[in-house]
Amino acid sequence: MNTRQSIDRNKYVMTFMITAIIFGLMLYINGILDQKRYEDVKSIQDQISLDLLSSETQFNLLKETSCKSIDDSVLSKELNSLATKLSYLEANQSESNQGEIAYLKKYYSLLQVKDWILMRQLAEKCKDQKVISVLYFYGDKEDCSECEDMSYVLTRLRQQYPELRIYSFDTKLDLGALNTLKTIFGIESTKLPALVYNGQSNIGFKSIDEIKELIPDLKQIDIENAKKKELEEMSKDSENKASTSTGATSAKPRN
Amino acid sequence: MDIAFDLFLYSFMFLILYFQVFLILTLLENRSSIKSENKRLEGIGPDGETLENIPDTDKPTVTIVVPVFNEEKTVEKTILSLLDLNYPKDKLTIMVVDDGSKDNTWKFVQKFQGHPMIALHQKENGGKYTALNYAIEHATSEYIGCLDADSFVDSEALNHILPYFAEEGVVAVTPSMKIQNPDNVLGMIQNAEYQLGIFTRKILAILDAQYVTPGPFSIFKREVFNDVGPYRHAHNTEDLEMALRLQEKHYKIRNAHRALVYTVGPRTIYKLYKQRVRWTGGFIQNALDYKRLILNPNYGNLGFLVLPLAMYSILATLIFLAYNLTTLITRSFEAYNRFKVTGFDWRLDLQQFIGTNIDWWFYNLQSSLILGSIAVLIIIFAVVYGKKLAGIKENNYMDILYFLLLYSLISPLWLITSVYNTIRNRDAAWR
Repeated sequence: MNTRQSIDRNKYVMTFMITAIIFGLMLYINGILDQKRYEDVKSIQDQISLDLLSSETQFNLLKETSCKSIDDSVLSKELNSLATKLSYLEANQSESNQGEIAYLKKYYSLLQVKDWILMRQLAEKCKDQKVISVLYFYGDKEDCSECEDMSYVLTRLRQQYPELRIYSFDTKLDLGALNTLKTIFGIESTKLPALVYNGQSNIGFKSIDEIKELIPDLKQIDIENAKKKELEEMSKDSENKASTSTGATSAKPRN
Repeated sequence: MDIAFDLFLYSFMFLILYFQVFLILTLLENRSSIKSENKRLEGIGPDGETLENIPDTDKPTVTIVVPVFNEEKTVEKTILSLLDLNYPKDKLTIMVVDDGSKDNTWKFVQKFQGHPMIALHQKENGGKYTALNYAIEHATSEYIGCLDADSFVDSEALNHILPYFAEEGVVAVTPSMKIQNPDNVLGMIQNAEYQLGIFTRKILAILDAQYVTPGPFSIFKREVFNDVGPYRHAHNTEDLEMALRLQEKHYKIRNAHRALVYTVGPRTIYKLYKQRVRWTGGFIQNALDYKRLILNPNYGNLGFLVLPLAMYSILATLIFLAYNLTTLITRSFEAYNRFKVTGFDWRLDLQQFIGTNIDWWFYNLQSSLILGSIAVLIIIFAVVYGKKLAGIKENNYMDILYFLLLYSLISPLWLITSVYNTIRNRDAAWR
């Protein structure tokens, strides 16, 4: 009566195979998605480099035309979103892809340098173009404990002031142009984070208020925004007053 | 992420998926046999051996034990549901064993004094297993089962269970359990969980791997206790230990999926927590007591797959929990640091959150997500199938939603305590 229970070996093997197939498929899909992300970043970079080329050409033409003909398209808006995506890739990609990521980062840094140069030229030539450029040099957590806080502050400022262009550079990257930039502003890997504004380099963490002190243009924008708001409220108030007074007049006949 | 943790994560996901595939394969293999079981129960099979067709005089005698301890509120309803069983009156005995109640339970059951089908017994308090053993000692019927005083049976339950004893070597048959009138969220969660249980129990029965003969209305051949001995304390889960003991002796346990038993689930989180700490802790400790079965090919699927995987998944869940908690704490710390330097601005923060979390691009479409969805689909299927299997006619599927959303949040509560208790008890035993 008491027979030993048996194990159906075939079923165990069969289950293993099905599970392995599902697993393999999943890894495969994952690989495709990672590849897609990588290609996405690459295509954004291509777009930016096209934008830049276009800007350069526009800029060369500018010598013969006026500032007004420069439209917003010269400011490559994709740079910010590219930065977010790159840092995501850096944090989430597997080891094997790190080489590709480093390549993308170098390319991105180069694009930033080019954009920055262009912006400076633009600012010199066309004084009414309101663009505030800041260079930001950062390092690893080990070398720079304040860099994380600094990037939080800069991200927030970038949200608040669309006019603010922050070019961020990983000082660890081995790139000729980046090294030259570092030499120009005297940036050392041991003295980070470093912010460069108006050719002046500022070392160490800066709070939002400190940065506003550093960049008076931001304060100017604040003042202008406050004025605008005040004007809006005043016009709203006067509208309200107008409507209440008409309300009062319409109520009068009842008395 | 750490490579070692990645490896652990992948092996865990692989094993869970393996188990699920194994269950589904078993179901597909045995679909036709489950169908023929159903037909046989309805009396339309080729051999038509449903109990309905057996003359009353030939039906076996059955004793149902109702062990009670301070259960004045529900005991009457339990007894009435047993009296309502569709079974010959002279073949069925209801044995109420009062395990030294301190309330009015004994007074309450006096109204059944003298009823031809009911025997009232009173003993000194000693725990549920002593009440069961008392009944086993005093019963003379061919079959014996138990119904806790918080449960009620469907009137056909016994007729659905007994035919399974026709198979040689079967000494115990388990029923399908359902939550009685789930009317709050906690009840709904348990309802879905029990329906999932109906599915798993059926499959485990097919695999000869049931590791529990639930207290409510599992029916045994009485003579089997002569061989395996009486119930033991067994870390307060005597029904779990008994199943493992029967499995160890290579007895067969079957499942009558159509035999419905309704039970009142705990209505507060705390009571549920207490119950589950007992169940989970009981499982871990009994499995450790029977560790000679684990990975022993003589014990078939139970020893080779079900027990080791169940133990592993408890451990793995805790590791996951620790990992998730660490991540949560790190994230909160990061967020705190960020707010400290940038200040809090809900509009901008929300904008940033959406920008980096909702966009598919940033969505962490990792393996765990894909496997998680597969697991969720299989769970939904199993709950719905379990409902169908037991013939439950409820067209409410909200319980699945609550179960999927909330169960994984509350179950770590009792997992942690159970594991902690196990470690503590083991340590204490050393001294």
